[in-house]
Order: sequence, then structure tokens, then C-alpha cells
Amino acid sequence: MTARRNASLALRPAGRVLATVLAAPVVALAPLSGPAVALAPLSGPAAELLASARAEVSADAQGEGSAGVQDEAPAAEAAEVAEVDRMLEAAREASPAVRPQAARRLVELGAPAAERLLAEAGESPADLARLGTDVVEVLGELESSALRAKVWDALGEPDFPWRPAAARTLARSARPEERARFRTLRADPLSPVRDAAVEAYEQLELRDAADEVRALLADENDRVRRSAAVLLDRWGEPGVLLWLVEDLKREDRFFAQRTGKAARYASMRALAERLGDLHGYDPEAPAEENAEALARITEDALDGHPAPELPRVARASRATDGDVIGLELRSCRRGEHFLRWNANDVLYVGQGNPTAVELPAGTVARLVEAARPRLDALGKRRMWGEPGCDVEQLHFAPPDERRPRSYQVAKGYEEIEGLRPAELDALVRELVPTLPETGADPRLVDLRANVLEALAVLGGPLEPSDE
Amino acid sequence: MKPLAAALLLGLAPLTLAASAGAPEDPEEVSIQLLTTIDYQRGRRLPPEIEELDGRYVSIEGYMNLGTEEGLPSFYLVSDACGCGGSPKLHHFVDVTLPDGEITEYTPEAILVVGRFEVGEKREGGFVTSLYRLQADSVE
Repeated sequence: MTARRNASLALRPAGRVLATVLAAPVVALAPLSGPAVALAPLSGPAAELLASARAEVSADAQGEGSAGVQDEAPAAEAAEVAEVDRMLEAAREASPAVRPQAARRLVELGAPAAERLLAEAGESPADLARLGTDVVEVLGELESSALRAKVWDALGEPDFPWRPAAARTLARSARPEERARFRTLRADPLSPVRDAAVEAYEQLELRDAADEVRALLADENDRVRRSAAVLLDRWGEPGVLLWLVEDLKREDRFFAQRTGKAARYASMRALAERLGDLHGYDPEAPAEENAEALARITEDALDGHPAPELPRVARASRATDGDVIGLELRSCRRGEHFLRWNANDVLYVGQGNPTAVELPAGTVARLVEAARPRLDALGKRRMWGEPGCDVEQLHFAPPDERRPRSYQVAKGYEEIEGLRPAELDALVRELVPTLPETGADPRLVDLRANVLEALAVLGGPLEPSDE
Repeated sequence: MKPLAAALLLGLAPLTLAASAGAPEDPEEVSIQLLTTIDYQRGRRLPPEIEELDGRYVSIEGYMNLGTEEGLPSFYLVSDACGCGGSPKLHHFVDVTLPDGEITEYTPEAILVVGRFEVGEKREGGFVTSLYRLQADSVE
């Protein structure tokens, strides 16, 4: 819950604000990454924006029936401004563990923080992006219509790097007049945004739109399916917990990533909250050893109602042996792709229960032969770029090597020319033509084009082939 | 615990204990998913199966957090190599301190850390800086 502050604290001439900021101590918070950076005092256009921001925030607060402007002790106001500065700096520059907490403190500081952030947010989504994901994550909860409008604008911009954070903060503080906007997020290319849409449906109690939530039970992302199932269960729909029970049986992996185990634990916790007793279910044990517990949990989940049919994408699957090459694309702008080339000349698309595409005989052996010298040429290096919201990862696990190798290309919201090294670029150019252009499964529709687009915003467009 | 229980049943316990005296402690395998999927709220007690791990010698498989700087004595161990959900939440990472003299060398590949585990909110400067910590004896 946001602590509301009296808007009377807000209004001071910009000049006094500058003096207050200069006097505020800057506290280094021992960041794990990067030095602490003192915020420069506002001047010029930024100071004008701050004055304008104050007027807008004050209008918001007065429109909601707050008391009139009162004089507050100058020392208390200066301390408050200094605290906003300190928390804003920490939210942008402190260690990863501290940044979200500092951002949450900004929400607790209320109107003074809202004013400052409105000024810092600038005019465009690109300006807003510079605040960083942790600050964007709380902007919707600062009870500022002007800030909220900026966050919605940024969310509507496909290249805004913090769209998941923007969606989540808006969803947590969803307003009834935004109902139509949240409904459009159900079809967003990013799964965290679709997941946030489910939260908005819950916040707004959109029970009359239950069929729209029900459609997300067939989402390709298991987190979205899980959120939809839990919400529908809260709304009294029978049988939907079966989606979570199915997750308890998952044994899939994506190379070393234990995707099935992660799903088992997440669903176990959600089911325990809903059902209580899970009859000794052990998420560390294989499904066969949990057979009795699963049968009893299923009975509890259905509660006498008939079992609904699960879509194929929601059904549990086992790990496959023989995965040799993997391409993992996670873009905060173009969504996610999980691709595995198996030694049996099968391409698996998606996580959990992937769809399988048969490849011409010898395809994967040829790819391995092409990959090895190129990857060997990279030596011991495994990472290019800098941490951020876009990650491209290639996995190489031929059976004759003891440990699989992973090569990671990552970047923040700014483009980095020539990020993907030439050897990886050449290998990816070999992989892409093996992708189907389309198919019956939704995950295959426009697959090759979508992967090319994701690659272009991640490591960069593929260099044209010499062929 | 299971091997010891079996040894007790077979009457082999004294022999087992004598044989293990002075031998390196076997780490208890802990899934990082056990730690990261809880519904954590600041100040609230953790699930008992997690609190019981405090002080235990464990092994945990995971990944170095994307953005780990080279040359530091510690890093965050997370459950996947992407870290694409923004800054990791407090219950999404284990703060691993490397053995004396060792420093971080980033890898995106899965690693196994072994060492003494610590559970509980650690506070610095008014913030909780970690929930899970591990003093590593080895990182592979």
C-alpha cells in the first residue's frame, strides 16, 4: 500500500530546491556493481520540468480531496527531498539486492518522490528507460496520473526495454478506466506482460471476462498458464487446478536448466496454498514415486467435478536425451524462443512440452561439424556485451564432450554494433535455415521470421551469407 | 540422512561412524528451486524446510548472476542464466563468498557450489542485503 503524503509539502520555488539538493549528503551503499554516482542538482529544462511536475502532482492530490496547502518546517522538507535523492540514487546505482527496496521506499515517500520522478522521466520512453528497470517497476504506484500516462506510453513502445516492469507496476495499481488497455496485453509478445495482464484482471475483479483469462490456460508460457489457473480457481471455476497438478509431473529440461523442476516447485507452492495437504508429494522424486500423492492431489483439485482436457502445451513431458545444440533467445522487446537440435535430427521448439519438427537425416551431425571449429576458435571466452534485458545464448553439448558449453551475448537497452562475434554469427546462420517457416502448432507460425527478428535486436542482424 | 538410517538398521552404525571420523563432511544436495520459489515477505518467517538448512553443509547447483563483475570475492548464485526479470529478488539468489584468495571469473554455464549455508535476513544501511548466504569451499 502506498503511504499518502499531504500535497502541501510539494510546492517550493525551484531555486530553494537546488540549494536543498546541493546540501543533501550522498550515501554510498557499497554497490556490488559500479560506483555510487551522486545525482547532479537540477537546472535548466530539468528544473522547469520539476516545477511543472509539482503543479501536476498537486493538482492530482487536490482533485482527490486532500487538504489545502500548508507551510511545513523547512528542515523537515529538506530532509524529505534529501531522502528522495538518496533513494533514487540507490534505486539506480546500488547493489541488485538493494535497488528494488530503494525503489519501494520511493513509493512510501509519496508526492515528493512522484514530483522528482516525473521530472526525471523526461519527455519520451527513451528518457524513462534511463531510470532503470527497478524504478520503472514502481512508477505506477506513486499515485500520479502524469507518471502513469508516461508508463503507459512506454509500455506501448515495442522497443522500450523495461516493458515487463511497466506492465507489472500498472497491473498492481490497475484503475477501472484502464480495463480495455489491460485486455489488449493478453496478446502481448512478452510473457511477463501477459502475466501482468492476469494480475490486472484480478485487481479489477474482471469476472465477467473470465473467458479471456481461460484462453490463457493455453498460453505457451507456464507462468502465464499458472497465474490464469490460480485466478480462475479464486473465482470459483472448478477443475482449473489440474493445470498445476500437471506441472507436478514435469521432468523436462533445457540443457542444464531444470525447467521441469522449477515448474514442480512453483506449482507445488501454489497448490499448497489452495489445497493445504499435498499428501507427501516430493518435488525431488520422479513422478512414479509420487503416484499415490498425485492421485490424491488430483482428487482434491477436482473436488468431484469432471476433469477438463488440458491443451497439449500444458501437458507434462520428460527430458529428452541427445540434445546437442540449443539456441535460447530472451528479448525484452521481441519475446522468447527456446530451440533445441537433437542428435536424432529433431528440432524441439518451446519449453516444457515442446513441439517437435523432424529434420532431414544428417542435419544435426552437419551442424555439429560446423559448430565445433567455430566455437573452439572462441577459446575460453563465454560472454560478450553487458548485462541487460536482452540475452542470446548458444548451448553446445556433443556427446563426446564431458561438459556442455554455453556462449552468451547480452546487452542493455542501447544497441551495441557488432556485438555477436563472427564465429557465433556464422554458426547461427547455419542454424536458422533449418527452422520451419511456419507450422500447425502456434509456436511454429512465422517461426523463422520471428527468430530472425529476435536475433537482430539481440546480437545484431545476421551478416548476409556468401552463398 | 538416509544412508545413516539404513546403516543403523543394519547394525553398522558404529562402524560407519568410526570410519567417517575425520573424513570430509558430505554436502547435502539442496535444489535452488526450493529456495527461490517461496513467497517471501520481509520480516516474515521462512518455511521450516528452509530454516532447517541454516548452518548445514550443502551443495547447490545454479548460475552466476548475469552482470557478475570479474575479480570480486563473491557473487550471486541464481536459478537460471538469464536474469531477465530485472534485479533478482532477495529470495531469488544465494550470496556466495568464495574461498580465501579466490575471485570471480564469470561463466554462463551451470556451476555447483559447496559450503556452509546460512539463512536469515542480513541487514546493512537499512536494507536487507541477502536472505541466503553460502561460504564456499569449492565452486565447480
